[in-house]
Amino acid sequence: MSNPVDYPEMNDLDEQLTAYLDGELSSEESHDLEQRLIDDESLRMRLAELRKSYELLDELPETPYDQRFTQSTIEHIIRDVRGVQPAEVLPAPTMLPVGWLSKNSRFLIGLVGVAVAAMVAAFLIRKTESNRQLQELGLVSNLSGWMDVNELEIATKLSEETFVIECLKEHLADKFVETPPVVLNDRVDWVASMSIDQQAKLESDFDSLRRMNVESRARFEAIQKKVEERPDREKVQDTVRVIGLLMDSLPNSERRDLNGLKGQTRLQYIRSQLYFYAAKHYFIHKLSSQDSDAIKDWCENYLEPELLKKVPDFMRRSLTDNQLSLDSLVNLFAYRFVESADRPQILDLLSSLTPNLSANGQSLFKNLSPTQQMEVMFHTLAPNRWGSDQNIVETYEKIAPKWRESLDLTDPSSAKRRILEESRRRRIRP
Amino acid sequence: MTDDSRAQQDDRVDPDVGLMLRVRDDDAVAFEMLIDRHQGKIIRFMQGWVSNVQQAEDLAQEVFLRVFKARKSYVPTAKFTTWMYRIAHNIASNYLRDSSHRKEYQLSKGENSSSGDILLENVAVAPSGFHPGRPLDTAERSSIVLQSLQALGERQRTAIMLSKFEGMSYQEIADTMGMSVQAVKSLLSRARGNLKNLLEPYIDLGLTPKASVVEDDSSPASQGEDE
Repeated sequence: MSNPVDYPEMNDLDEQLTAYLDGELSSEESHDLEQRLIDDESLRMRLAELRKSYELLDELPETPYDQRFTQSTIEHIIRDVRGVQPAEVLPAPTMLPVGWLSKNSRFLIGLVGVAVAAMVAAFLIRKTESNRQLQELGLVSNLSGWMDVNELEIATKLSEETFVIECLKEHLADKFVETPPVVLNDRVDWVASMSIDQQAKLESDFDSLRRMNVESRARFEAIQKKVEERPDREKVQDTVRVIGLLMDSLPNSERRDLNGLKGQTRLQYIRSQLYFYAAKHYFIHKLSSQDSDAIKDWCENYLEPELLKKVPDFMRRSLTDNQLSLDSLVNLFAYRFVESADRPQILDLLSSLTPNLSANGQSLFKNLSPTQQMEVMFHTLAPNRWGSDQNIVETYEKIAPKWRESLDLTDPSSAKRRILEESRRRRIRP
Repeated sequence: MTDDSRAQQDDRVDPDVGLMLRVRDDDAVAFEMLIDRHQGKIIRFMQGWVSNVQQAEDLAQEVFLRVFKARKSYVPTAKFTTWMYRIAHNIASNYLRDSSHRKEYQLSKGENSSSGDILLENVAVAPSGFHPGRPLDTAERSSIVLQSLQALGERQRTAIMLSKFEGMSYQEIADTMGMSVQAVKSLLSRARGNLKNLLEPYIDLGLTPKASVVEDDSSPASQGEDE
């Protein structure tokens, strides 16, 4: 059938057919059209085509309900309403005991001049108005971690990864909180000493608990009770909170990978994530001189020659020496290398590095896939490559002041996204 | 009728209105219930505009943030979803208005073509690629449909999504998009026709769509035409 754009009359007919399919014709109009359909085969075909293509939209399923989306949205809103950056800590005078907040919240809000909406205060009021809620703090502070770990046995096993957990506690220091004190009255001060970001997280976890179905809640309460009876309770609970925070920092699509995983498979998945992010932190912030020497030697003698092979001849002639530095090579060709190299090639390359690393470095590497190992090294060698925090700062400094003024810096995630896009658009490269 | 009694009546007709009125009174629980009820639909709506789930979720969060911020000015004069999707449409539209977003997320209109053809295959980014003749699995079908939807102009896409997924009437779509009912009728007709053209190869032969013409009705000239 011809394209109706070419024939005005067919446009009118298409409108009629569409309205018919959408149930928007009057009974009289429907009747008239149905009469035409009986007599006109091409019209029937056109109707069938329009209907079929519309039905194909059913292939696009509704995104499944995700409790964490609600949770992270509320955290986002609380941060936005309070006008603070994610990692910002309010100065001490504004950190008041929660019990006090519950009685005087609205007055307090005006008094300290913190732009907290009444609804945000309501979150705090509701959650802190009774001793029962103070008692719940133990479970609530671990809740998102328990939802990821799901089984006490998994948490216990992962808590044995002492070094990895320590690395990640450092990595997540702005959000990590210690286990709540045993004495209930002390818990008020414990909450009050938190940063705004930590409080927002706690608030949304309170809501998660409240909205949780009875069975799940009972199960997590039982797990929490068991862990509190264990001699190693501090260590296991620290691990659970680290896992909760780490998984929260991943995109929802990656977090959903946990759905349905049980036992050993779940353990392996979480362990893999823990090691990957711990290694990224370690090789930038904690590496020993032995690691540093090993990486330097490996870069000069093994990595750099391999990356140079990935530079096309025509490009090599036009690149300056500076552009052929290791940092630039990693920026330009690291992913090309990972995409084009096969597993034996990567293993061969890494075999020149791993044995020379320190014991800590080796233990982290052993639990990563070869591709993850390469990713960690690239992250270490070129932390300012596109998308990194350093790159964002550099890009920000390079773009026009007028454009900068359009950034809403009270919304860091949005500002970061816009800067990255500007970086890509302007081809600002590290 | 007093505002209160009208609100009670609206509450009975549309439970979301009742929730939103509670949100207006700073009821945190009601707000969470609203997010729970609508998150899936809003994320899917945003997926029609951007290229990946993470971006869609970010934009969906912005919608709920705007709903929260605008709660005090909420007046239950229409269905709650009409009001919410108007916000969603504005957020998505403003987001793409930035040329860099548009460049990144929308289909590039055929650089080698002066007629404005869109090569859907240019944006077939599934790692497996689509090979003609091979039966497509659910994920690939979903991807093709999503790409076709994204290939529509902004207004056509929004109208289609509100009609198909929200089951809105032409009047409700007109209210949401600020257009006349007749303009919605024409818009949806063109949208359905374009969608059919985009998906035709797939419908007929089970192949990945190759090329189709899509009107960009978001341009000022064609907006006027719509209305």
